[in-house]
Amino acid sequence: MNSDNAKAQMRKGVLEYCILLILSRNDVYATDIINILKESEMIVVEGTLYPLLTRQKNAGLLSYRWEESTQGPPRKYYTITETGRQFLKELDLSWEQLIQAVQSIREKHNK
Amino acid sequence: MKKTIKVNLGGLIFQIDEDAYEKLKDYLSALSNHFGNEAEAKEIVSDVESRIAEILQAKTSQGKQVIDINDIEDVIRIMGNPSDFDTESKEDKNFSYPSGSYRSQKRRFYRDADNAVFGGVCSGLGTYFNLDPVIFRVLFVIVTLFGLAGVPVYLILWIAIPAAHTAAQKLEMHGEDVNISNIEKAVKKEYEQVRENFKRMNARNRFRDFFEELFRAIGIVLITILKIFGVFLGIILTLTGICFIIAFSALIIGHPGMINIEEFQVTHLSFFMEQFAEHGYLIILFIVTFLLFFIPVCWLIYLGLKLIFRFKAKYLYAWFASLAIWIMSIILFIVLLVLIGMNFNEVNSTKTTLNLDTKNYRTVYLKINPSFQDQSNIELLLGIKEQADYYLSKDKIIYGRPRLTIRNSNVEKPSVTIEKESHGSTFDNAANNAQQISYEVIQKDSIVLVDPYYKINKSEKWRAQHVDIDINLPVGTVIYIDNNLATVLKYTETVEGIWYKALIGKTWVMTENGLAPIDKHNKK
Repeated sequence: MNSDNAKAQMRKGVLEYCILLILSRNDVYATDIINILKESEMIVVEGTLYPLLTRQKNAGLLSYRWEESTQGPPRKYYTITETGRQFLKELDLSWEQLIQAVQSIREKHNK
Repeated sequence: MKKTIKVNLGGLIFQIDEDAYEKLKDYLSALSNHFGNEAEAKEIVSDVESRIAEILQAKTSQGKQVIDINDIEDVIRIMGNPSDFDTESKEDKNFSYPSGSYRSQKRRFYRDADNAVFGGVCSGLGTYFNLDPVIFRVLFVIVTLFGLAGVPVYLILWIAIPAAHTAAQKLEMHGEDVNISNIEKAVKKEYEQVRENFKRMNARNRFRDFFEELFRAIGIVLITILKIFGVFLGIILTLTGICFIIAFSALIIGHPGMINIEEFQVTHLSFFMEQFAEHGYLIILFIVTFLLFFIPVCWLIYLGLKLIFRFKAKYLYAWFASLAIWIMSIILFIVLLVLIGMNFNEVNSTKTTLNLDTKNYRTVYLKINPSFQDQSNIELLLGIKEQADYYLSKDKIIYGRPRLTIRNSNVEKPSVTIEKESHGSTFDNAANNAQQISYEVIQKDSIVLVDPYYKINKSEKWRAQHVDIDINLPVGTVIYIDNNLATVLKYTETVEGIWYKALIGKTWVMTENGLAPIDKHNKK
């Protein structure tokens, strides 16, 4: 097992959380999300995002609308739904718990 | 110099090099293969397309006009391999683009356009079966020589089977060998899986899993049997279709102008057909009949080949087009038959009676008129066994066999009744056709001479004409029936125990119950 793969798996796990976080602030389109995620090095390849967005949309966490663009064809703007916000709250909570859990394990065994 | 292709990607137009286009196309099809075929997959791919369009747009806005292969490689690097797309870690982690992203590595039947002589069918077959395409070329030539069947089979394959153009298709074309050891491998793999699952069963609910696995195993066996059966059925269908074509072309090419089906025989077919309709009509009728037969045979062969090779169907419109043509052929066929049949709508006949003189002679001799001309150089045109015979002379005149019967007249006066009958478009037309039949019976002293054929005048067409001759004799008349009457003598009333065909070459006497042997009568 190489470390790159482990990192990728870790990132993938929290990617859904990150997407909801980005969308909770304001409505954006896919490329905006990609740019943010790339900046923070959450994703390596862009393709990763699309299946996630589609699945979250189909799960009712997101919805989208088409918006005209000055630079080309219309863009898909994603919005977080009420269900999405509920879901995000739960994820916030479990993220806290996860960090605490990892933290406590590190403190105990990393000495 | 490179060829470029114009593509619409996510609503934007791009000029793109051909090789770059192939690469992009393969990538996108690998994506859609990866995600399956549901609506979700389509949405993902179309989102990805839009993003690719955006990236490419950024490249072109830098003053670049044509997208080349480096740009596409860039894009693929940015977007990532299909295997990277999955967030849930799946078992197929080690799959990678391009070879792994295709669901199956099974070999598919494609036309091999790179090594083609005509359409690449034979080279495709060669690749599929791992044989030299020359073998298939020779086979096609042989099958074509024996009844032309090779041509339609080749055309069907050419139309139905896509050529391997893209890299993905070429990969599929050269996929894993279709041979016994690979089938064995596949079956073994299935078996191993089943066994593995059986082992794991211990930890789980024994009972339910046992049945689950049992049904799964049965399912695998059934599917395998069905697949084998499908190929078998396909071979049968294809061969049946080819046999039909061979039989059909043998009918046309082998004996132009002759049909011989048991008791029904037609020679000089083209001449005979012209009797029904004008030449133009006949050509249409011929084409329509041909299509009526040929299209279903093509379907049969196509289905058979599809079952054998399980190729991806292309050109769906060919089905609809052929169906439309076929239905049109049926309609045209019926219309033409009705039009032709109209000439036979009505029947009419004319009767003439000739009085015979029998009183002055002890015996009347019934013979074929020996001076009848054209008797030697006529050939059978249409023969329906025991029903009717028509003949054609060298100078294209139609003759027919009359039907002669001898009966008890119940009156003193002996006579000959000649009834000429014909079909026609109208009642009057039929009567006119009947009048155009020439037939004669004459008496020379004690001899009654009948013509062996009736003649349909040259200006007339064949309208199922008939001539019936009744020889009406009063009781007590003695008659000798000559041997040469055998061809025209039909059912005649006789005393019990004598078959009418036995009447010839002997002398008979008319009684109340029909003809009777002369000696018996005399004894009475």
